[in-house]
Amino acid sequence: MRGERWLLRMGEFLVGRAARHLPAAARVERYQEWAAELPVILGDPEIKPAAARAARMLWFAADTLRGAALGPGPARRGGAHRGSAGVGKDARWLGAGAALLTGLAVLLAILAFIVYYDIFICSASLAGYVSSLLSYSLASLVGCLLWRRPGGAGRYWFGAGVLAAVAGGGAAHLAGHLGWGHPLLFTLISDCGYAVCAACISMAVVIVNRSARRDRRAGMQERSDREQLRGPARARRLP
Amino acid sequence: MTAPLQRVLRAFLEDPAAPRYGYDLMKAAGLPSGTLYPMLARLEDQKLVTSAWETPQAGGERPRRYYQLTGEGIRVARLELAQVRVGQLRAPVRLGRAAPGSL
Repeated sequence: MRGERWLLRMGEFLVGRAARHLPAAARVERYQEWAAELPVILGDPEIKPAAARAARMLWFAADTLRGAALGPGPARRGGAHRGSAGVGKDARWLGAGAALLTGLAVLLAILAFIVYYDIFICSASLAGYVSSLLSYSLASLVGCLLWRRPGGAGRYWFGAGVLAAVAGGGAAHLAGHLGWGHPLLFTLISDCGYAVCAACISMAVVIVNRSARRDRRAGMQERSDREQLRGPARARRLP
Repeated sequence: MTAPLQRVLRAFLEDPAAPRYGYDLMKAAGLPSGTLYPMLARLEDQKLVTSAWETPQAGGERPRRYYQLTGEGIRVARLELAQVRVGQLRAPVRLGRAAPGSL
């Protein structure tokens, strides 16, 4: 599996953090026990897609950390290193973060599949292929440009718009290809996706425009302030 | 006895003589690692479970820790699970019984 070494390292890092919550006497042994399970989970033939195995392995490591940080048990008695008072809170945040990351990874995987499907399978003609590729490239370019703008909320709106368009269009493509449901339903879904996309992108444009105007105004203000400061100094220097 | 503990004991009692490793128990009991390992440590403290390190047959794999119920553990687990079963059988009867003073 590609990237297995990195995944194992991530898992080992998490179980290493978990072992730090245990008493010194049990720490090394527990770490070895948990670290030995990681490659087994990654190679589990019962879990079919490799991505699911990777997610399962990371989930194992993250939940071990949660259990070591929060869970009662002998591991935490007899001089266990409890860390700071915020350990439980940290572990809760870590759990929430891991859940969010997993959700995001699943969402990205689905979107990547839809984009792949849209470009390489649905666009049978050259024109369709080129237009799909161009639209995705343009969306990526605008996304990158917006991302570089400091503190702009427009990028989130733009991202949401692209997601809505890809999800709506992709769902209709997939449904059409696989023959799911009534075509009208999926046409409506894709139209809704495009409408949401248009609304989000309009919002992004408004936000970017407003922020640019604010920046321009702040720049002008700064320039006038500087000139006002320079004025008396020049006046003092003149005589 | 908590439901996760019941599940772990049932998983062990499927084949009490077979040593089980953590991930195997996780799958059998359907529990996350953060719940299972503290429980195994507690059972080991109470001498109901023993553990031993074993190197797998396939080369290159790391040694793993295998858990097994002790004789006392098997007896206690069977007894506790039987009590739980009896309690579950009695529960609907208790629920159906009229409260004192009521019609």
